[in-house]
Amino acid sequence: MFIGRIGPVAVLALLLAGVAACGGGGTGTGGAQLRVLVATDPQYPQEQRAWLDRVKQQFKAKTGADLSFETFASAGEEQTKIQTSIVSGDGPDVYHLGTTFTPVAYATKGFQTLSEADWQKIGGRDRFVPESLGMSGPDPAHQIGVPVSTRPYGMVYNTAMFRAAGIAAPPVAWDEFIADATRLTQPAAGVYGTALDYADPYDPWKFVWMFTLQGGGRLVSDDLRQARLDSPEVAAAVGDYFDLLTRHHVADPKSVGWRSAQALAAFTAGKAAMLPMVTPNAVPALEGSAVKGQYAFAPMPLVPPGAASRPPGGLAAGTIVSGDNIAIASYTRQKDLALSYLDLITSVDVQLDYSQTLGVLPANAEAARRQAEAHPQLAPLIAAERTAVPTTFTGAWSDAQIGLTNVVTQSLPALTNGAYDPAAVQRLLADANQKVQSSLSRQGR
Amino acid sequence: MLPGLALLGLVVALPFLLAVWMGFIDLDQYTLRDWLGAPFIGLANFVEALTTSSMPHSLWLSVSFALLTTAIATPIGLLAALTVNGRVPARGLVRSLYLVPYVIPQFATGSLWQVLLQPDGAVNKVLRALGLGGSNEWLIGPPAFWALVAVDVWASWAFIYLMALSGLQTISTELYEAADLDGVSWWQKVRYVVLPQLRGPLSLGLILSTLQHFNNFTLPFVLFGSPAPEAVNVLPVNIYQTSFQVFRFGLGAAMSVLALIILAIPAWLYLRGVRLDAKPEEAGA
Repeated sequence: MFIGRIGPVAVLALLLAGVAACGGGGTGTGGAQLRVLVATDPQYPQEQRAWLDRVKQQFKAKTGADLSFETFASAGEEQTKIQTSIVSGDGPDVYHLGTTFTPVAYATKGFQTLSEADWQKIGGRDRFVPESLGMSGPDPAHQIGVPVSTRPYGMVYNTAMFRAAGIAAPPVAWDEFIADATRLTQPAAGVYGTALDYADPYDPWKFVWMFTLQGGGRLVSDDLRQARLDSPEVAAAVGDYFDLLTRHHVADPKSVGWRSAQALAAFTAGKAAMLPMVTPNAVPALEGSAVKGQYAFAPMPLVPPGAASRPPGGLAAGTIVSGDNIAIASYTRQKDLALSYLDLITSVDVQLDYSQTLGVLPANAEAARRQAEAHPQLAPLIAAERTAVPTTFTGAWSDAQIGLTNVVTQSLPALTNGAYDPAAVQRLLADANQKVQSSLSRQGR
Repeated sequence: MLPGLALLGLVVALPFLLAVWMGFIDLDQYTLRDWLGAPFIGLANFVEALTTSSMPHSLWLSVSFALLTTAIATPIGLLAALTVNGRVPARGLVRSLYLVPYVIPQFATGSLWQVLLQPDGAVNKVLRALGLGGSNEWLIGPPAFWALVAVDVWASWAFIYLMALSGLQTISTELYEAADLDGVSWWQKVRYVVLPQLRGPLSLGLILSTLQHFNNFTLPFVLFGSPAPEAVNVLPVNIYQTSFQVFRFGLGAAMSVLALIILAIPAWLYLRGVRLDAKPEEAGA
């Protein structure tokens, strides 16, 4: 019974803590194995296994030690693993973490802050695309995450449809985006200017975050003391996101129930002219579809809806700093070995191999430059990474992310009816804001 | 006796007591590493769970969902058991087929129905073909509740079927023969012979089924994800999100303990009512 499992999970963690406290985890400094937790790649499972094997061999040649990869398939599994390991003081030595989860991981105090000497052992900060370090820690003196890959968000557009409509270039402002999308929308033919995925568990909050920051607002105050989800800027951002469907009618009404895969499918089927909030991971699907050779990437528009330029305080926020970081567990006795792994996996050759195998972009600056040269189609996304804006580095970020997603989730029935109630949105935002504020207050105690 | 008690303490009592203890401390992402030093905050988590959190709404949803699904699944399971209790053609095959939805893993059931319930999915196509509308968004808003009920009943009615069939197998054929001699109808046979004999296994089935529905986490989580639409934000999903997605372990533990207490009271009363907790001689008295 699920309800009864909450207790046992805690007990398991507590018992493990006791065991670990006595046993010390079983891997001493002279040990020859490093345990690494890494996400499985659902798109390229076989290729990933082959890549992990290559890394193992290279690590063995470099250090004489073995690598043991442990995998997780979902964010929930990752979090449970981290939570259990942190409490018990036993588990993988090194964790691959999503960038938006890194602030929460930092808040747990379960990972080692890297010193200047540590950074030097892995080639220094200059080795990396500067923006990719934006989610490594709250400030340069307190960084736990070493970037291993980037997944900048941008948009992809159908070049043939743009040409047919006489549109010369992708939009750089959201009003331009809406105007282009309106021109490209032909409801009778089932073709819309853009595909959207309101029911996706991950994309909607990024739209709200983007519109909020472009409009000069913030989700959390800069001093990390006040939640701002109930501010007019955030409410306007939610409205801007919903208006694409309910006011401008540039998206298929079915997109209310779509997740990212369905929005991508609409684009690859030629039913949508633009698809915002995509990453380089979309390339295989695009290359295997009817729009092969008829698409191009572009950065997201950077001027908020209803404005000719960004207002004071507005940021050129097109993409979050997205990708994966690597962090070293605070309880590990294999720190030097862990740093050797970090050095290896962020080196140019391994980064290029990683990128070419799994379709992510390198965090290593030199590897990123070479990838941009070799794959000009990805250049706009690599350029987007250069203007990536980090999400707020706070342990309350999970509350903010889930809170914004919940605002959209609970508004879906209204969107299905073609309209939404701003007052209802405001109530949902106020509720989300209260939860973020609670977390911020607990963080500050 | 002693090993049994020790096992009971380790498997049941210790986790429960620790869950209670967690409910009294402010265990979250900020105190996780030093969990032994997490601040003691008294009843604050319990008060928050009952007042400002969404637990009361989730509790109401879970109770409604559990009672409704059990109420729908029971006659289906009972009827199915009656159809294969006697000598019928291909009885073994039919009995096996009845179990198919029940033996499919819940995550697979959830994934399957998530596809079927899409706006352009098979469910809406069938409904359209039958002239019953069929452009519904079953996975968002209020219809999500009915989608969850339907899928859960589909996946779980066979449990009642199993309990009922096991009870039917114990009814002596002499009782049926006596009823036949009295010239009773099929329904009278069910009403006055079968159902009284099924009282024990069916009552147990109803209790276990209600608890299983109440605690069903996998199906709503896979079908709707998290955060779930309000209409299906049932208690297990709510507690999971509270504990493991936003790291409020203390609050999640308090919600679990409260749910356990709230569930235990009617369950105990019901057990007393049907005398399932009584000794055989007491129950038969």
